[in-house]
Amino acid sequence: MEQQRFPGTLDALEPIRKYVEATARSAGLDHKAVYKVCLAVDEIATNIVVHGYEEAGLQGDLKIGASVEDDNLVIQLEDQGKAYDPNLHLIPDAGDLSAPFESRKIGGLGIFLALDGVDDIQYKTTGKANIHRFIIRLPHEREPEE
Amino acid sequence: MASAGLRILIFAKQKQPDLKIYIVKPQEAIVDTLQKTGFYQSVYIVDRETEELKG
Repeated sequence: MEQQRFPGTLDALEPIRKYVEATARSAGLDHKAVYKVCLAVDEIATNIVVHGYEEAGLQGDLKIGASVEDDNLVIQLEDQGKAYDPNLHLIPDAGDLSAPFESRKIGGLGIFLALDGVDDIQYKTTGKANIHRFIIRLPHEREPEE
Repeated sequence: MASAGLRILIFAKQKQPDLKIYIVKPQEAIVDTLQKTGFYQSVYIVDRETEELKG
């Protein structure tokens, strides 16, 4: 998987978004699916920069790459910040999501949106790097009509 | 609309409870996010910006 490397700062979010958008479009995703994939990667990348690097007092890169594996588009995001598995994050439940603005907690929606935007987010940490794999099932090509 | 945008809406409403939040002609994906996160019932979705909204 060929990867692009960006510094682990908020300035990296725009080129990462452009990379994801171009990759998702070329893989055949429709407009809405492209938007959701971009949002998912953006939310996780933002968390890595803000929590994994800045708040943890660490510095490093964000590396992004993509491949098609079986019938899935796989976008891989790698960092060297503080480890955090998004699948262990407590996502808002129905009660949280129906609460009025006045009693809402500020925060907690980013990972919810990320998990909602793709079919799966796989996470592993190797000790040297944290790897997020965003899995998106590709639409099947329509059979030619007779 | 990312979570950063949603946080701004919550923050604004909590700072100013009487505030009415209008979202003008949002894309379908924005409406989808607002619905999934439960924000849809708390904002006004309108098709165009009127003189009243401009204040």
